[in-house]
Amino acid sequence: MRIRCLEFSERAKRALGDEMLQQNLQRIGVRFKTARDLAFAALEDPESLREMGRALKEKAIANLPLLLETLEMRVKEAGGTVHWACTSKEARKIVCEIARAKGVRTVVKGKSMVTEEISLNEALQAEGIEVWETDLGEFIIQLAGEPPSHIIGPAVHKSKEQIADLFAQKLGVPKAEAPEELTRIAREKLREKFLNSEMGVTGANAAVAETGSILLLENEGNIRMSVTMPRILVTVMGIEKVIATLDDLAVILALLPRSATGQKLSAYSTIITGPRAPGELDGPEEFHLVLLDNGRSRILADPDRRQSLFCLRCGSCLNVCPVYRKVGGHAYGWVYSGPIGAVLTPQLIPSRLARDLPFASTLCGACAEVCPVKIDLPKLLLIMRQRLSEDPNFDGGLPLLPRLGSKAHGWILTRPRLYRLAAQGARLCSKALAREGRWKWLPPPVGRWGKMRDIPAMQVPFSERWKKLKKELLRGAANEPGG
Amino acid sequence: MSPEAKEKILSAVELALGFPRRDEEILKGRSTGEVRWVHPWAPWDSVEKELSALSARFHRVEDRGQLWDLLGSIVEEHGVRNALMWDHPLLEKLKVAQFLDEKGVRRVDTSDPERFRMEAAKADVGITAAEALIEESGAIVVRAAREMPRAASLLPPIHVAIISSAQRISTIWDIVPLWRSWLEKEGRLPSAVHFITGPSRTADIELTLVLGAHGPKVLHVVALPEELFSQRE
Amino acid sequence: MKVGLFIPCIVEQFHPQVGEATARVLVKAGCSLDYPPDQTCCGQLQYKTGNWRSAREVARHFIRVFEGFEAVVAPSGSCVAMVRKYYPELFRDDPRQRQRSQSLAQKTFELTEFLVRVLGVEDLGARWRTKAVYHDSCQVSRALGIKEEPRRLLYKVEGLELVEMEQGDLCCGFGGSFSLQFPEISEAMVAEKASHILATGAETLISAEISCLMNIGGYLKRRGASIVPVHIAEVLVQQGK
Repeated sequence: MRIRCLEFSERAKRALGDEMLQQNLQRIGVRFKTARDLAFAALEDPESLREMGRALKEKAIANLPLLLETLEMRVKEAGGTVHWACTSKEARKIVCEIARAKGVRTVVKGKSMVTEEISLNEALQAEGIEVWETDLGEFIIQLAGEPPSHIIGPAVHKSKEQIADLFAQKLGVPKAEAPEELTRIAREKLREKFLNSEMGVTGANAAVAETGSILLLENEGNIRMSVTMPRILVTVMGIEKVIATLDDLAVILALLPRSATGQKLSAYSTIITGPRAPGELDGPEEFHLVLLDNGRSRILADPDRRQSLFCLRCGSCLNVCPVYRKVGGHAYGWVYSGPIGAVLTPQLIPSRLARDLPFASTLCGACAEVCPVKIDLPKLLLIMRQRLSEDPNFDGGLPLLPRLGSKAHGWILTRPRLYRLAAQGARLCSKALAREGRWKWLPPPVGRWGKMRDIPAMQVPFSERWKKLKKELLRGAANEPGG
Repeated sequence: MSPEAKEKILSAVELALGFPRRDEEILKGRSTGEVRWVHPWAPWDSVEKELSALSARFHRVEDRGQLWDLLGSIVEEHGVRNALMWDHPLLEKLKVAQFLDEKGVRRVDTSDPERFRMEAAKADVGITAAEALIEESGAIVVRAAREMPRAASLLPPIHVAIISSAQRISTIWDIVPLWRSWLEKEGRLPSAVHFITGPSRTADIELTLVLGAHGPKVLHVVALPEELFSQRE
Repeated sequence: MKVGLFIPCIVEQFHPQVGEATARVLVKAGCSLDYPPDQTCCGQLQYKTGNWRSAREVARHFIRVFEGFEAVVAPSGSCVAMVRKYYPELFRDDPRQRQRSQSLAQKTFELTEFLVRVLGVEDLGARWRTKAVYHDSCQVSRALGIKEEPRRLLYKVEGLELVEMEQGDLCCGFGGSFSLQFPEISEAMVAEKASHILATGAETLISAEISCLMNIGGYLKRRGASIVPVHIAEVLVQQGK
């Protein structure tokens, strides 16, 4: 996917002006947050489940070399093939080569962020291969040629009338209007593709090293179709997604659907181990697992940032983030959005291309409260801000002027007398520029704050009132019985 | 190309983690031992509640006769003319194939693997057994095997899953010993295991819930007393 | 108990009456107070904008100024969170400073938690006849886990009717530098917050966090709303209105 994170501010502004998007973001946010909270409240011990989630991820990441090698071994034993890709480019090459070698003309795809990360669709299309997104929301925006507006509901920015028009135009069907009708149209169209496609491509929610299995969660059935009908299955997965055992898999099954949508289980939770067994009538004849690094090993190298890799991609941090709820996913400019997106993006792409993202947060902490694997997202955001500002390995951080301002401000704060002098100076300005108890004008950037809010004028500071106050308090205390 | 990439990635990961010791212990499972099946006579209230909340249909029948009546009403209701059926001991015992023949419902031809896909797509109903039913969520657990095609619970608009009262487990945690028992017996997991929790669904259009996106629109879960299957014929 | 009064920079410059109210409340609760005049700021602006080198300097100064007290109390969650949670982080690689910061962290408190949890005081004899809504600042409720204490204090204010707003845990959109860097998003957030507040029909808006009050209060005032924003310290010294 093209990187447009530097457009965050403009895109955010546009999103704020989009009525329909604002309504949908609000609806989705409240709906899924409530559902998630209910699902966790119904558990006997929700906290301990999240602890288990974190523990299994810590264990997996800490033992990554062993788990990756074991995973490969088990996948091979089950009759599958494992490919390793250091970069997006390598991953694209691997998948395209498989497609070319097998004469693939049509690919059906389940929704997969990692395949967007490596821009797989474009690469396959450049080979003359038809790529069909089969998740209904993804199918709609693919037809429309638009990017997704939300991770869970990519097409929520479109009304049913707009979708009806789109289908009529692109699929040559009569204009239907009820969501049931529209869904049926998509079902029929995509069924034809599922039955005739040579290759299915998916991501994976997790891979179990113990058994060489991959986990795929969904509600529609399009992923099951993609892993059942075509002859070849290619699964692309980040190396950080491997977990150790079936016990850990059960924890993921308990945590992920509840966190994402408040469901006890998704409609379909599929565990694939290798291609079809001999004699089976359906299922892929070939199973290819593509393990992708693409910067993850670099994140791994920093113990402070390592927990960025625990993410299950459930989307619950997005659902509760007050910033995301206002600007939507599109504003973040790349594959991963919301709090985890703000943390991961500057670590996976050159950080100067995503320099604003970690600062686009009030650090309210709502995300950390819901993360099923207890990633300390606010801490990671702060760490990213520090890396961008002070670590030579990163490029970005605040622009020069605010940075110098912050330094100067910090310098004054260690010198009390200078600080008081500066405050006095500001008070004089306040006297000149404030009326009716509020500032009438302030230099930018502080002035921007004052555009929508009244900023109170400065007053005689507390420090200058203390002497008098102290006396008064002592007198009062002396007058109190027993004082 | 690939062997190089593998070395590069594993080296980078090892270096990043400070060359951790390989601890094979972490690959050993914890939940082993007997599967804790729910008693066959235990009440079905929670199962009914869960399945109903999922818009799935739940039926309890006492014997083969009642099952046939139920299947008959499903055939009537949905105008079933073609069925994709598993070749499974439980379905054999219940003589489901015979029922379909008597009803004039054509059984999809599963003899030709090359044509299976297209044939399966013609089915109006898929009839399967299941490995387990999870009370906590109403999920049925289905596995793929030679005579148990995945398509039966996926392609047709209606899926009928038949289980015995002795196949219930309480929660998701109880699935792990079941998985492990498969691992022990067969040396590996089945090529596919599906947890099916209600019919296929989507809310991608204006957040309106619609059933039957790509998978079945209607799911019937039918429970029979386990005594039926433990009897000798 | 000898308490060091920690007056956040915003209170010092813009809302000194909150500092006065804080002092009065603590004295009423039986503390003897001192105000170390060399205090300046906790350094959270530097810290939260990634300028940890500067933040360390400011933190060092702060620790020097306050470490001699039995307890340090501030009418601000964000400042206390800075000292408690982030000072030890800042000095992770400096064992001596880390130790000093950890000792200080253990005795630094936000006002309402100090009153209720440390002093065991809930009733300060305050009286104020008003319908009020309390805003849970993210820094107070999430960062420090303080949700019950302010409410317990407010329940004891004679004549005060406390109502709760919808989606009370929603951030008000200030976030320090965030509101300067992304003012439009910040405005949209404070607008939503303001609508939930106004929907309660309350006359008074109370919070334990001065920056939230400035943010929401400033926005409401610009819109001509009559609801009065007030810090909880100011409520607790009311003697009948």
